[in-house]
Amino acid sequence: MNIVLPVQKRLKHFEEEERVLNKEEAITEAKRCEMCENAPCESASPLGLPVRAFLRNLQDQHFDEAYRLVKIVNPFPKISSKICDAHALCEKGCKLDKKIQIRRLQRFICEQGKPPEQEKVKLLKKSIGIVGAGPAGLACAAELSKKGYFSTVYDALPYQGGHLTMRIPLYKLSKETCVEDLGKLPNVTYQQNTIVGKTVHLAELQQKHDAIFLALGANTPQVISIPGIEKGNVFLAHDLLMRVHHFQAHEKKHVPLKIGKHVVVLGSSEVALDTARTLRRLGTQVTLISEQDYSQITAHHESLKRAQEEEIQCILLTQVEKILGKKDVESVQCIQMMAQQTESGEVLLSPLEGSTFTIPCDQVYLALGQHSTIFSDPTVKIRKSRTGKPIVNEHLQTSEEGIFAGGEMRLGKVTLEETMADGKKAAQKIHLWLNNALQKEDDDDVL
Amino acid sequence: MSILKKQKLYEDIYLLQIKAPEIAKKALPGHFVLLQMDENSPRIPIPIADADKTSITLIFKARGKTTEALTQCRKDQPCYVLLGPLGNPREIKEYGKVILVGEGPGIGQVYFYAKALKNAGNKIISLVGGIPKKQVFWSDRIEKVSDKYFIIDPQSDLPSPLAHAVEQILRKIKIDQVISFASPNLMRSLSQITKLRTKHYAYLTATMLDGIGMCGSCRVVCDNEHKLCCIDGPELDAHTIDWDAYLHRLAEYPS
Repeated sequence: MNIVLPVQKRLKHFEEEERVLNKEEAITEAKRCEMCENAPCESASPLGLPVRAFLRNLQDQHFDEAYRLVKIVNPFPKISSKICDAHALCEKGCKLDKKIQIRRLQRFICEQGKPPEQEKVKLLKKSIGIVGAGPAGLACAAELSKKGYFSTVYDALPYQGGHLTMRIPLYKLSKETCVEDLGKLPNVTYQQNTIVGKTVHLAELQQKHDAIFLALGANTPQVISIPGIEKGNVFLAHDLLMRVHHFQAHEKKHVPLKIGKHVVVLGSSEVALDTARTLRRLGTQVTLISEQDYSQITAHHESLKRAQEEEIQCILLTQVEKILGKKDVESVQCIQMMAQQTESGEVLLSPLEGSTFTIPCDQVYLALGQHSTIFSDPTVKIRKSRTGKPIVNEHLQTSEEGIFAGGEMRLGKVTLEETMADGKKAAQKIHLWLNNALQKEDDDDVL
Repeated sequence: MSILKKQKLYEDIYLLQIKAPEIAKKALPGHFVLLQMDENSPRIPIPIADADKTSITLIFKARGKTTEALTQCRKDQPCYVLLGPLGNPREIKEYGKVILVGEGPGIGQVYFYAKALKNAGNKIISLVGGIPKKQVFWSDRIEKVSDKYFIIDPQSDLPSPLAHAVEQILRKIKIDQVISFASPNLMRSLSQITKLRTKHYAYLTATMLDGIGMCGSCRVVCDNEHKLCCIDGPELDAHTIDWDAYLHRLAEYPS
């Protein structure tokens, strides 16, 4: 089953690289499921996808029903069918040696099935202000809409989607898919190019709305200290990903884009792989360097495999000691690392003496992770942790009455499904709070 | 949000007055905006030079392809994106004697700062330059909100007349703080002059994509620590800035 475009085609453009399974392939794949009694795939799904029922409907060719089952739990099934981390979630739970490809089957259903219409509900005269149009904020808005609430989503960016439209590569997720999934949420209005805390203040939102949900994501890139990192042509990965995948600088040319001939990418996350593979599509020679070994890298191994197919040199277990060059970058000085496992199972890395080597390059991109977006507002002070995350209780309530916070802003970098699940949880908590039922939920827990 | 007025102030320096009530209500000295005039033009960070109840005034220099395109905008043209107010505003309180240095488009910010700082009880010494004396704009209004006001003619034998003027003042009077709104080269010279003498904050207008800390394009190294102009600045302690690195980065993606 060859799902991915051949390398030469992939490198020619930014169109989505995976094709949809055909009907025969999808049914055959669904039929491989042994319908385990305890269904570890279901307990590994943060959104609670009823995997067995979904696959059973697929096997029986009840595609509309299969779509309905997905849509009940997942507000944005098309997006997640293209980029979700199923390999680390529901698919990881699968007991078969060759895991059932649940994500790809979901994609098939999103193409084949008829999207279910949202059930009509009684509209309530209550509105919620949601800060951040990323997956958590929009999942919250979608869930609130199902309950009859109106939401206004405030975001600094001109499009909905947050990081989905800012930096997820177009070859994984097209703009059209984002519009299809995010563009038509009923009872939701958007106020874009608006920074809460700057353009409008929380005190103003408190006047307008009955509750507020903060979901600003984890979008601030991390930088570590490496000698030479201050050089002009050392960039952060997000810079490139935004220029190409959000502003489409490679086509429209209105946003400048300067790409070296041989570029080094530091990191081993999915963002690092996205950066390296984007650069490769822009025609440059790319070397990816990571301290981690194959077992430790956080990127999907499938992404690493595709990067290697695309002739990206991937050097693992290697640390960049210095970025060298007079004015601009000329090379990076590296040293090989040794991985040793302690008795407790922890992997310790140490430099291998005498293994220093250099790699010539004319640009470096850093993909070293990102942390929660720091939120501040001059009118309402919310209690924060030392790392700047809002402190919330088990109901996602902040220190300020009626203001909730969730998603990657509180969790840090997590999977898309976990982010959406947190947004949905916030919607439920807000609903209970507006109906004076949160206290009751607590009492029920005690009983 | 649309253009109320476009005015050429001097050769390549332009003023834009934009109707933007939400931003105007909250605009304070220090704030800047990201302006994009149409879908196919880039977003440009521009400091706010003044604001009233419903509009903001921006002053910028057409120094490259992207800022030159901005000079083509017309009266009543709606802004495709106007994001702001961004950055940290200056804390308005009594500091003592404050020198404000404005070069070229930075003259506008001297006015915005002087107005607020004077009200807070500071003694304001405003020095402006970078353009011929007779062409300097906003002189009347800056003079009104300054205790001393000097226009430094750029046509001089000195390599940096504005820096020289600041040095002369620092030799004679104890100054509590210098705030500069100038080209990176001048602010670097000023940071050498002010070092060991007084505090100096430089207003940086680095290139950026989003203005909210996502892209990292406006990264600046301050005492070996990485800061982002958009969320940590735009005013940064001039004595801690690695000016060479900042200039190299600006050269990568000039505006």
